Amino acid sequence: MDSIEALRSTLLIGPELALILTGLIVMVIDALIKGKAKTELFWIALLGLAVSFVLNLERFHQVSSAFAGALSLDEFAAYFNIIFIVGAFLAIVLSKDYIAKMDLRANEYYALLLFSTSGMMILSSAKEFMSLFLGFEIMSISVYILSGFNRRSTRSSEAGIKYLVLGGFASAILLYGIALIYGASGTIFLDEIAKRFDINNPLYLAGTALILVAFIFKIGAFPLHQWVPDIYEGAPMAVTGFMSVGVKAAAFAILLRVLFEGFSQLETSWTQVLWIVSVFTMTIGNLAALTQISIKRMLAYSSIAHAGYILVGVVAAYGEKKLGLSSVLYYLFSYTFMNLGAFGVLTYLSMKGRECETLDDISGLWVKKPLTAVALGIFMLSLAGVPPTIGFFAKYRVFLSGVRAEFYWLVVIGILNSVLSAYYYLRVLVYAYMREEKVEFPSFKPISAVALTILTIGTIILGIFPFYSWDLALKAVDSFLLALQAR
Amino acid sequence: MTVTIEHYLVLSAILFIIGAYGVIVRKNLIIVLMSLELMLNASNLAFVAFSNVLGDLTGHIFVIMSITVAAAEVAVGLAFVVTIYTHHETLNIDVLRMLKG
Repeated sequence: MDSIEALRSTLLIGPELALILTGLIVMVIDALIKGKAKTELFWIALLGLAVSFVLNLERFHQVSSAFAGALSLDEFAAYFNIIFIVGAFLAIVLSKDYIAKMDLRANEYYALLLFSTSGMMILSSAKEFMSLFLGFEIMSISVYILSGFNRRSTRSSEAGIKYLVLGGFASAILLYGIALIYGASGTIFLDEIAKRFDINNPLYLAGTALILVAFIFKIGAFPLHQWVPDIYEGAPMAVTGFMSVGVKAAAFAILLRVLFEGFSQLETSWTQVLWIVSVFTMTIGNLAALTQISIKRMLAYSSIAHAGYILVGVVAAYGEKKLGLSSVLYYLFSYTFMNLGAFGVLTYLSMKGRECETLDDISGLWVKKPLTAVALGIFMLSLAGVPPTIGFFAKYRVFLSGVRAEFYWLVVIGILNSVLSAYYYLRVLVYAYMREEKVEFPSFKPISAVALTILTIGTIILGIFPFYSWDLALKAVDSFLLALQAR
Repeated sequence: MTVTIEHYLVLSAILFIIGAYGVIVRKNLIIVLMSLELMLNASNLAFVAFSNVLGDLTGHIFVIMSITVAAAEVAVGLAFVVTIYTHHETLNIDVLRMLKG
C-alpha cells in the first residue's frame, strides 16, 4: 500500500478519526485548564460526536473500502455507527449531572466514552480479523475502565475487575479462534476465508466455534450471560445505559459480519446453535428478571432477554436474509432509545452519592415528578413491547421475520416470553404510580431533562412513524447482501 | 527429532488450557491476570507457528498488535487490583461478592 492510498484511507475514516481526536483534545484541554467543573469538556465531546455523526451520513451516499479492504465503509456499518453515536451522545448528556452528583472526574470519562465509541465504529466496519480484534479491544478496554470508574465505590471497582477478567477471557478465546482460522486458511480477510473454507478441516470448525463463543459472551447470551447482571449492577448508572446499548449493538454488528461473510458455509450449523441459544437466553433472562428487587439488576436481566429476541432475527436470516437482518438492525436501533431511556430515568433520579436503584426508590414518583413518571412509563411499555411505542414495532418485525422463515416454535417461545416480561416491566409502573413516596427525589436538572425528552419523543415518534429508520435499515442490509453476492 | 507445526500447536493448546484453568480456579487476582496473559500468549504462539509454516508475515504483525493490546489490558487490570486492595486489603477473589441478586 503506497502513501497515497494510505492518505486516501485516512481521509475516508473521518467519523472514527473525529472521535479519536476529540477524545485526545478532551484529555489535553483537561490538563491545561484549572478548576473542577470543566463544562467545556462536555461541550467539546458533544461537538466531536456531532461532527462524527454528520461525516458518517456521507457513507449512505458513497460506499467505499479503506486500508486495502481492511475496513468496509458501507451502509451497514453506517447504520450501526448511527446507533453508537446517538447512544454515546445521549449517554454523555445524561452523564453530566450524574458526574456532578457522584463527584466523579469528568475528563477521562468523556474521553473514554469517545474512544470506546470509536472502537465500536471500527468494529462495525471491520472486514478482516486484525481490525476486528483491535476494534473489539479498543471498545472493551475503555468500557472496563468506565464500569469501574467510581473507584471510591466498592461495587463499581468490583464490577470493573470482574468485567476485565471475564472480558479478557473472551478476548483470549477470540484471539485463539482467529489464530486457528488464520492457520487453516492463511489469510485474515473474511471474504478470502469464505472462499477457502473447508468443512472437513477441523481447524476451521474449532476456530469458528471459539469465535462464536467470544461473540456470544459479548452479546450477553446464554450460556455466557452470568456476567451481565453483576457488571450492569455495579457499573455507574450512566455507563450501564451506554454499555447495554453500544456494546451489544457492536457485538451484534460483528457477529453478523463474521458469520455471514466469513463462515457462511457453516450457516446451517450455527443457525441451529443460535436457535438453542436464543430460546435459552430469552427464557432465562425473563425468569431471572421476575424476582429482582433492584430495577438496575432487573434491566440487566431484561437486556439478556432482549439479546434473545434479537437472536430470533439472526436465526430467521437463515430463510429470510433481508427481512431477518434488517429486523436485527432495526431492533438494535429501537433498543438504543428505550433502554437508554430506562437507564436515563434512573440516572436522572439518582441522588447525591446514592443511585436510584430499587423499586422503593421510585415509588410515589407520579405524585412528585409526574413528567418523569410518564417518561419512565413510556420506556417500560416500550421494553415490554406495547404499541404504539418503538419496542412494539421492533419486536413485531423480528417475530414476523421468524414466521416468514418458518421458525414457528422459536416465534411462539419468543411471544410467550414477551408476555412474561410484561409482568416485571409493569411492576415498576405499579410502584411508580400507585405506591406512597418513600425517598426524596432530586431537583429539576435541565440538561438531563433535555436528553430524557429526546429519548421519550424518539420512543413514541419513531414507533408511530418507523418508516425512515426502517427504510434505512433495509438499505443498509441491501448493501450488505450485495457485497455478499458480489464475490 | 525435528520440531514440526504439530508440536507448536499442541504446546499452544496446553498453554491455553493451563491459562483457562488458572483464570477459573485460582483465587489470587494477580495470578488470574497472569493466567489471562498466558491464554493470550498461547494464541500468539499459534499465530507465529502458523505464520512460519505459511511463509506469510500477517501472523507476525498480528502478534505485535495483540502484545500491545495485552499490555493495555494488564495495565488496566493492575489499576483495578490497586483499587480492590485499597477497599478490601486482600486480593482473594472471594471478597468480590458485593454484587448478588
